[in-house]
Amino acid sequence: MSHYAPILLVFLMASAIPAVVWYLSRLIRPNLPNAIKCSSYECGITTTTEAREKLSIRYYLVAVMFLVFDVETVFLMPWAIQMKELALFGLVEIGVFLFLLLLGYGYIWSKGALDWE
Amino acid sequence: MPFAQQLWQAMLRDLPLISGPLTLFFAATIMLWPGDLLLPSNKKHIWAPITLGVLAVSAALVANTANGSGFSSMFQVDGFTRGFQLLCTAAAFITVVLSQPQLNALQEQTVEYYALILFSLGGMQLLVGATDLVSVYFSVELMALCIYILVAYLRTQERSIEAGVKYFLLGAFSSGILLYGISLLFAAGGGVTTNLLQLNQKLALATHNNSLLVFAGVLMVLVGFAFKVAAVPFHMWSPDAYEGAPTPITAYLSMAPKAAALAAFLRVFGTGLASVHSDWSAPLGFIAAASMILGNVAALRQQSIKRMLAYSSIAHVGYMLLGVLSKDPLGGARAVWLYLLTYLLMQSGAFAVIIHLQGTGEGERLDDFRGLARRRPMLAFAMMVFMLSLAGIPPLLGFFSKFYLFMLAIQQGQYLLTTIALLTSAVAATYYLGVVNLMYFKEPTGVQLPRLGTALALTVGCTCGLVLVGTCFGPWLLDWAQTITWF
Repeated sequence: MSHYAPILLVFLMASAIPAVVWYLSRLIRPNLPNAIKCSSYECGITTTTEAREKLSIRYYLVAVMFLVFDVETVFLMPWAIQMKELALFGLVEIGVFLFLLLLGYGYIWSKGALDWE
Repeated sequence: MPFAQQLWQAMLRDLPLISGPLTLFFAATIMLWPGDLLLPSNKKHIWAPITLGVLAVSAALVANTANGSGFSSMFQVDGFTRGFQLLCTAAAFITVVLSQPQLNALQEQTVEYYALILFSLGGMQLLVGATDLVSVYFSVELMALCIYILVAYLRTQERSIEAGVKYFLLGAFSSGILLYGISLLFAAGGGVTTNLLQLNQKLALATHNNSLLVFAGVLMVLVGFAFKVAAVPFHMWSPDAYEGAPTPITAYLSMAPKAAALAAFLRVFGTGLASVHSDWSAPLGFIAAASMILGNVAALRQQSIKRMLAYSSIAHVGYMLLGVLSKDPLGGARAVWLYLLTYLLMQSGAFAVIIHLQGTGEGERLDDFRGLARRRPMLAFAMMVFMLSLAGIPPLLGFFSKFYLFMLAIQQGQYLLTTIALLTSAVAATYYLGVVNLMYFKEPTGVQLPRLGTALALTVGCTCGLVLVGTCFGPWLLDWAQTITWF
C-alpha cells in the first residue's frame, strides 16, 4: 500500500488549498450583500424563467441514436488498432457486433426517431 | 486456415451452451425489428402467443443442454444452471399469461413489453450459469435494466414511473457497490483472475496478508447481492417498486429476478467465496435475521395487498438466505431451489387472483377481499390455499419446502437463526390468515365481479391443485432437487 502514499498526499493538498483560501477570504473580505449580488448570475441577461423546462422528447431520441454510434466507435477503435493481430477472428466478431447494432438502429428508425416534423 | 478452424470449433463447442438465452435474444430482436413493422397496429395481441412459443422453445433447449463450460470458463451448464433456468423461464411464462387481462383492458399491448420480458429472461438464464464475476455482473445488469423499464411500463400512471425511477436509482447504486466489491476481490486475489473457482483458491492464500481488502470486497459484493434480492436493510426499493409496477410485473419481480439473483448468490458465495466463509457468514446471518423479522412485522400493518406481498417476499428471502449460509453449498442450493419452486406456484396463483380482482388496474386494497367467499366461493378457496401455503401450514406444499429448508439449517447447527425463522413464521401466519378472515367472515362490499377469464382460471386451477396435492409427491420432488448439481 505504501506506494499509494503520494496519491494520498495529493488528495490532502488538493482538499487543503480550497479550504484555506475559502476561510481566509471569509476572514478578510467586507460583507455588503444586495439584491443584484445575491442573484444567481450577477452579470449578463436578466433571468426570466427557471432553468427547469420541459425538453422535447426528440433530444432524448437523438441522444439514443448518438449512443448507438458512439458505442460503435468505442469498439471499432481498439479493433482497428489491433486489426492485424486479431485477423479473421476479429473481423468476424466486429461484423457480428455491427450487425447487432444495425438491428437496434433499424428499431429506432422504425419507431420514427428520424422524423423531425 | 487453422485459425478459422479454431474459431469454428470454439463456436461449435461454446454456442450450444447458451442455446436457450440465444433463442430469446434472437427472437426478441426479430420481434422488435422488423417484426413489429409487419404487424398491423390492431393485431398486437398476437405477440403474446408468439412469446409463449419462444419461451417454450427456450425451455426445451435449456432442458436438453449438455453439461459443459465455455467462453473462457465464463459460463457453465450443469444441473444447477438448468434447474434455475427452467424456474425463471416458467416464471416468465406465467407472467405473460397473467399479463393478458390487464394489457387488453388498458389497450397497452406492445411488442416492447414482450421483448423486454424475453431480454430480461435471457439475462437471468445467463446469470444462473455465470462462473466469473465479470459475467455475473453483466448478466445482472442485462436482467435489471429490462426490469426497470417494465416496472415503469404504465407510463401514463405517475405511480408506475415513480416506482421505476426509484428502482432504477437504487439498482444503479447497488450495481456500483457490487462492481467496486468485485474490483477489490480482484485486487485481493492478486489481480489475475475473476473466475470463481480460481478466485476461491487465491483468496484462501490471500486472507493472511490482505485480510482487510478481502473483507471489504466480500462485504461490498454481499451488499450488492442483498440489494438485488431485496434483503433487509437493503430492501427499501422493494415495496414501492412492487406497488407501482403493473401487477403482472409485480408477480414477475417476486419470482424470476429473485430466483436468478439467489442462484447467483448461491454460486458466488458457495464456490467463489467459500474459502472466506468466516468473513461473510456473520453479516449474512444478520441480514437473514433482519429480513425475517422486519419483513414479517412490517407486512402486518399494510393496507395494500401488493405491499403486503412485497414485505412477505422480503421475509421469504430471509428464510432462503439460510440456504445460502449453509456450509454445504450444494445442499443449500437444493433446498433453495425447492423453496423457490413452491414459492413460484403460490405467488403466481395469488397474483392471478389479485389481477382478477383488480380488473383494470385499480383497487388492490386488502378491503377488496371482503366477503369474497360469498361472491366467488371457488376463487376465495383458492386464495385461502395460497395464503395458508405461504404461511407454511401443513399439509400444503409451502410447508414441505419450508420444512426441508429449516431441517437443513438445523443440521448445520444454525439454531439461533432457525428459531428466529420459526417464530417469525408464526407472526407471518397472522397477516396471511388476516386475508382469509376478510374473505370468509366479513360482509361483502357488493361490487359485482366479472367472470374469470380462461387464462386466469387455468393458472389459478393448476397452481391451486399443485399446492394442495404437491406434498404427496414429496419423494419425487426431493429426487428432482437432487439433479441440482455443479462441478
